[in-house]
Amino acid sequence: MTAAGRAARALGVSAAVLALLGPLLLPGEYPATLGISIATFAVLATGLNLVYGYTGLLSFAQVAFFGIGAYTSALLVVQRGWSLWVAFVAGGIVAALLGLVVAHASLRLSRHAFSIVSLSLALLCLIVARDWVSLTRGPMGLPGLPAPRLLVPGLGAVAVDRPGVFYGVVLAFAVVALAATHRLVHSRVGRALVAIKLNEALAQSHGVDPLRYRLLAIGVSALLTGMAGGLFVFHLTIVDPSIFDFYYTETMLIMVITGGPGSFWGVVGAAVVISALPDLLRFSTDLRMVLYGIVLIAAVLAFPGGVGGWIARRRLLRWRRALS
Amino acid sequence: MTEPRPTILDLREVTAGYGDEPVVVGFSHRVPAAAITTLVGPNGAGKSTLLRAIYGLVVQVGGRIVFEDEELGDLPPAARLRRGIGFVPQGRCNFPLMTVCENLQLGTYTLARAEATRAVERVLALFPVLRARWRVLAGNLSGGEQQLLEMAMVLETAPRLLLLDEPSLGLSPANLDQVFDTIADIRRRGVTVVMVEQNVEAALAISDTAVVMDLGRKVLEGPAHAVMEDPRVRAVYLGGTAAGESR
Repeated sequence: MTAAGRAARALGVSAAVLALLGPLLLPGEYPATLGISIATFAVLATGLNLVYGYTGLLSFAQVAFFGIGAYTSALLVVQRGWSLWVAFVAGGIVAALLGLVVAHASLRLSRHAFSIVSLSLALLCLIVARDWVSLTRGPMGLPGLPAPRLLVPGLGAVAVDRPGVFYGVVLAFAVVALAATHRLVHSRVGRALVAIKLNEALAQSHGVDPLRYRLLAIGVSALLTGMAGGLFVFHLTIVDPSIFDFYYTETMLIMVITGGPGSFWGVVGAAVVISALPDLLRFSTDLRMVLYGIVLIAAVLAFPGGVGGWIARRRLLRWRRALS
Repeated sequence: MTEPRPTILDLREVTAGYGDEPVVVGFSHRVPAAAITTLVGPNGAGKSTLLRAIYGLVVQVGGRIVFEDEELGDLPPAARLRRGIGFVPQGRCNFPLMTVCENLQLGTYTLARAEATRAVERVLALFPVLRARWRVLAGNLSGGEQQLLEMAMVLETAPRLLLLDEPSLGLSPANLDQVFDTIADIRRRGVTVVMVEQNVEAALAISDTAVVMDLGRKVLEGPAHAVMEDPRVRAVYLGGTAAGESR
């Protein structure tokens, strides 16, 4: 695993560096817009990887955390006049609290109960956003979200209104979020999470409390996902019920499964490639989504355990050949 | 061996099982400290169930389990671990997809961080073979090494009572000696061992006390060597010639 981890890391790091530098080197607004999308999805996919890949809990609620972070942060800025830099953190905290309440209630039953409840939560959020018109303005959403202002020493307040500048902000957030998650999964806590996933009863008999560690994973994942949502809508400049769309759930799952659940850099690499893929296939407008589907089917056929799993298997095979 | 030792674990009329029907019925026994007590008996005698009841893994419907003069009541397994009872279940019970290092670290979750490092060092001194296999996945160790790893994981918390459920299960003869030698060594360090074993001859050779169980009850107890010589025991477990006389 450690050797495979190193190879997956090399792949993930190069993909991440490419995504990092691309928008800065290429001219125009389009690369920066794509970069914002890539950085956001890297955080979303890593959040799901923490809950599903490391902890073994299939969560459909990630999109709910994303959307709740988005709405909370947008409402606080528009209605209460908060600074986005405080509001998006508040969005993450609200998402994390909701995640903890729902997870605490459902995990007392079973991990399957958690999956079902997380799916219900996502659907419920969509309905609430659409029907609680007095708060969310329903399907009209909250348009015209103002560009945040950033205090830069020496320059004063700079409006983050160009995609290039916004990309820098999202990238900085993504780097911090990924670094925090990386540290978490490679710590004592991360080891306990994997142990619980592999053999809950055995982990418990060594004094590991599964509920506590699972709640921690869900809390951190919801926090980062909510914060990502809170930032992302200020790039879109509008938040409406489509922020809870199943498209986000589906994309996150594709990224984690093709990247290899439980492989940190495998999933980051997959997030970078898959967020860019629909745009790379733009040369053929009509067949774009068909090609996207073909690439996904090919990826699943070629890497049933995800890219991370594929690298682990190749290492093992090479090792066996060396022994025989 | 006849010199009386203090009692570390006192089982009083313990009745335990899974469903409506108890598997262990009215079992009373005093386990002497710093000794090896081996439970023997035919399949279904309730030996494993008794061991699991001591660790709080099965429903105990009657009787009392008193460890170091304190009744355990309905404490969960993790709390019993903190009180000083370690349990190594039957069959493979490590994390095969994790390295030896990671497995040993997983045994230290009830300890403070600084103590955890010392605990790993302490068991490595006891099991030097594990240090040599530090970065190997536990699933790639031999059966004997895996059994040693599993005992090491439990010994990290420095239990004063170690419960072993069939430590020799599925081991080759060479591995078997290694495991029994280690158990004898653990006892020499002052840890009380209660084990269930089907490999009666090898187990009783290192045991101080033996308890024979059948149909959930205690049928015989005594010093290990005496129990081994008992014609009824020889007939049932060792295929001795006394089969005709015992029935």
